[in-house]
Amino acid sequence: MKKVAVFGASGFAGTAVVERLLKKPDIDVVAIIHSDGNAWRLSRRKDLALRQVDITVREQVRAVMENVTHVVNCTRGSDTVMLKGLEILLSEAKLAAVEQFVHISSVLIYGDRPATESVHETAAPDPQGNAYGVLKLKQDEMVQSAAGKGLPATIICPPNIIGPYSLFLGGLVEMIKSDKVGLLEGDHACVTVDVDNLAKAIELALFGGDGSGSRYFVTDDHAATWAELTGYLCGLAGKQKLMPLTAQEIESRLQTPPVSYNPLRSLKHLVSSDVREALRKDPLLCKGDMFLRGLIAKLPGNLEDRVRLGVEGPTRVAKVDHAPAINWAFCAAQLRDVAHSCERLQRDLGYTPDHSFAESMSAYVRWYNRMHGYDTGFADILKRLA
Amino acid sequence: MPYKLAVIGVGKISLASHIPAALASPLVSLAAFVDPDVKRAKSFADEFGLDIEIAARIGDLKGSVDGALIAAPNHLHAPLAIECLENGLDVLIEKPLASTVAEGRAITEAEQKTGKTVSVGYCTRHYPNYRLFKDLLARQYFGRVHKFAYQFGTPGGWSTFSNYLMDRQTVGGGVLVVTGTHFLDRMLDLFGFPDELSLQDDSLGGPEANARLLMSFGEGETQIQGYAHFSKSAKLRSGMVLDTEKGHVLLADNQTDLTLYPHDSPDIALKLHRTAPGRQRANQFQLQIEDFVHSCRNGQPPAVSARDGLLSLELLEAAYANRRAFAENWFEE
Repeated sequence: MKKVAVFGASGFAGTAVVERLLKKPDIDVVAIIHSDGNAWRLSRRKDLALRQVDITVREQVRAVMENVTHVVNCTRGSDTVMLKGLEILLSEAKLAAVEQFVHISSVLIYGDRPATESVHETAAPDPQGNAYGVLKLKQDEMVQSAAGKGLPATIICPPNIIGPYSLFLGGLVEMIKSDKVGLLEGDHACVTVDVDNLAKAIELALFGGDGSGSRYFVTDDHAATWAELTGYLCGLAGKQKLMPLTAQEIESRLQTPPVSYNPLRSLKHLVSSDVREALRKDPLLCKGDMFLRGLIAKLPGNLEDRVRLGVEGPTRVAKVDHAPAINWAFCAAQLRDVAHSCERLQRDLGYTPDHSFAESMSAYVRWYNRMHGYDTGFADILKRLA
Repeated sequence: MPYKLAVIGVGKISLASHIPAALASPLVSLAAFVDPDVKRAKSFADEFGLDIEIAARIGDLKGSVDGALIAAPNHLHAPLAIECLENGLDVLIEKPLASTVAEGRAITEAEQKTGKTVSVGYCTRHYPNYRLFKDLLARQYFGRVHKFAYQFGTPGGWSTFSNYLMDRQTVGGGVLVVTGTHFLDRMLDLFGFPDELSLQDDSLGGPEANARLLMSFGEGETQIQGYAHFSKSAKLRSGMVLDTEKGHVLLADNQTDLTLYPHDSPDIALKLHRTAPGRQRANQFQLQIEDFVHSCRNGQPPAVSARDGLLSLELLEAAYANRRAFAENWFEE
């Protein structure tokens, strides 16, 4: 009997892994969560006992590792959870002599603009400053180091995770509704993996991985485009199509203006009304401020106004921008345009996706409509809540 | 003289809502915390700067207390409430009244026997736009109501100290109890007990994460159809929409206004709110505690009585008795 501990079991990926493994009669699943608040999809099952563990506390991790033969790490959280927690998981897994440790990484370890060669895992990762990518790469390195020291481990590297309950798709629908997303002209890859396909890849890695710390991309059957993906979602958001964008437009919007330092301006900020208002909360400083204002008020002629104008500057009226409030940082994801390939996963572990991209997206649409009551006679009034 | 209140169960809901509401109210003085984890209760009292009595059990309280707010796990509501009532304390019980109808009846019997006040923490009755809507409905401002729909959904939710939400027995159900009961209480208040109801939920033996109710009230031309979906796995914009003779009416949760979309002018939306807002800016938990205190002092029934709470439990049990599986066949055409 294999005993698989799934850490981060209440997350989107973790839940799918647990649900998949529960169907296997020869596997004993230990679902490990951080708190009960997000565990509703799992706690509705009577056939599953949830264990609550803080992975940054070694004793708690050790207590659940008893007789565990395989570990899946789907945890997310603060930097402490991601790094200190992972360090504890790896060392306790080694101590428990687990047969395989499967870790979930992210394609963001290749950054926001991956190099073209990152189609394959052989390319060297470079997060290019993407904070999440940097953290995930650090984790990958820790897992590979542990594999080098005798803990059989495999890394599964997913792109955007789709399927029913997908938070990525849910967020995208909301952004489409509020006109925050445009569509980059041309066909640009949006690599996805259905959450069930991801769970299948994890299962294959658990029982078929060579444990050398290898990294595997996992994707759906074909590299979808953003046009295809958003095509499924526009209807849910009540939109016909997205505003067309050019790469140049996205690039220019992402550029931040250079910072210029001006000591005089900084000094004026120190005596500005905003700062003085905050300081006036202190009774002594308030008294001092009132005294100074009294002195300035006694100045002859229009000197008081000139002092005020000198400190605060003239009244500024911002230009009213009628352009839609596009989320440019999100739209920049369309510039990634690299279709990571799961060939290696297919070749080494025999991976084939259970659901095609089209099936997964149709399932999401069905899920969304049902969750929102659009399959009932109340759809007309429920759309008022959209 | 402020009303001396003990908080029984110093958990997440007490810390986030009830204690701040009691502290904000000039009518109330927090007198004690009762919690089996005395050390944790003491540390929270210190965090709020409260020098109050801390006890593990109600029977251990030494100082004088007028009433208690019970915010313990659902299955403990009945024994705690009955103990309080028998010790001469009024009780405000966090929703639901209890975890079963039988336990709820035991509370109402104890209320009658002791003559003390019992109120149930359905704080959403104090939403300003709900009170406005109820008032306008009574004045037949919108004409006939044909149907209504309500939804509330968050991917995940509260985490508790005791983990009681993961156990169907301690909750008394699932999302229908934890989230849905607030709306069901308001629905009972507006339309009474439904003549027909059916529930679809996704429980696999544990607390369900999704519950979808279909209901009807009355018959013939005046019949009202109702729909409600509560979810702990999907984000759903919360609120109620009604199809009335005059138009669609939208009540977003916890707002001061409501919106009317008139049938005869589909290009406009009318925002309705009271010209004299009164105390509607106060937080609903504070309004709830103050309503409870007024009730205890004046002998008037509280906004939500034990009888109302019992009716909610009867509705929950009737719904679960008529449940069927919520289809999750997303990959089938």
